[in-house]
Amino acid sequence: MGAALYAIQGLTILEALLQAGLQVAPLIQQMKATLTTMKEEGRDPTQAEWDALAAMEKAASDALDAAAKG
Amino acid sequence: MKHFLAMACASALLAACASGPGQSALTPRQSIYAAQGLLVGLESAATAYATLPRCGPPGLVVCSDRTVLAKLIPAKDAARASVNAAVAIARDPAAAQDKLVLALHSADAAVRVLQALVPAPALPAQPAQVQ
Repeated sequence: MGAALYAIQGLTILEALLQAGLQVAPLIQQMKATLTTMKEEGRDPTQAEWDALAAMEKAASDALDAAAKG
Repeated sequence: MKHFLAMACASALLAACASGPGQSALTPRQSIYAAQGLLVGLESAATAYATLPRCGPPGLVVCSDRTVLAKLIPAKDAARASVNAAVAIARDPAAAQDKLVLALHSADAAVRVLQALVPAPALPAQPAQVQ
């Protein structure tokens, strides 16, 4: 019984980690695509792109602060 | 603690600044943009770590260490300050090139400090390359 609970706890945590990884992967893909486009077009980030990334960064920072306090 | 996944994430974005065959390097503004993107990724990975149960009770297979968290948050705040300062310079169309490069180096250094601290069990393992 104890071993089963131990395994379930481990699997649950690993599942949470996997889900978190899946959330980060699209961000990396998006950044790659955006940077590739910028290079191809020979341009720097637009104000809208800066604004969007800044909002994402603020949200990520706030989420980390909240999780660390929990 | 394994940091290899964070290293892969860093390679995906900051190393994108390096030029490859037939490719041009990123501009300082593009590199600062990449640094801010990397910061978001590291913050997300750190959040995944911070949401784990705190280490202490016996039997926890995966847990977050309070001493690591105590270092992560100040490093994150420092990285944010440095990256945001660089972004402010990058968003100024009149910013001089040498000022942009200095800001990029400062942001890069601060992000690397954070990167070294993030246990990053939640980042994807596959390094990415900008084509």
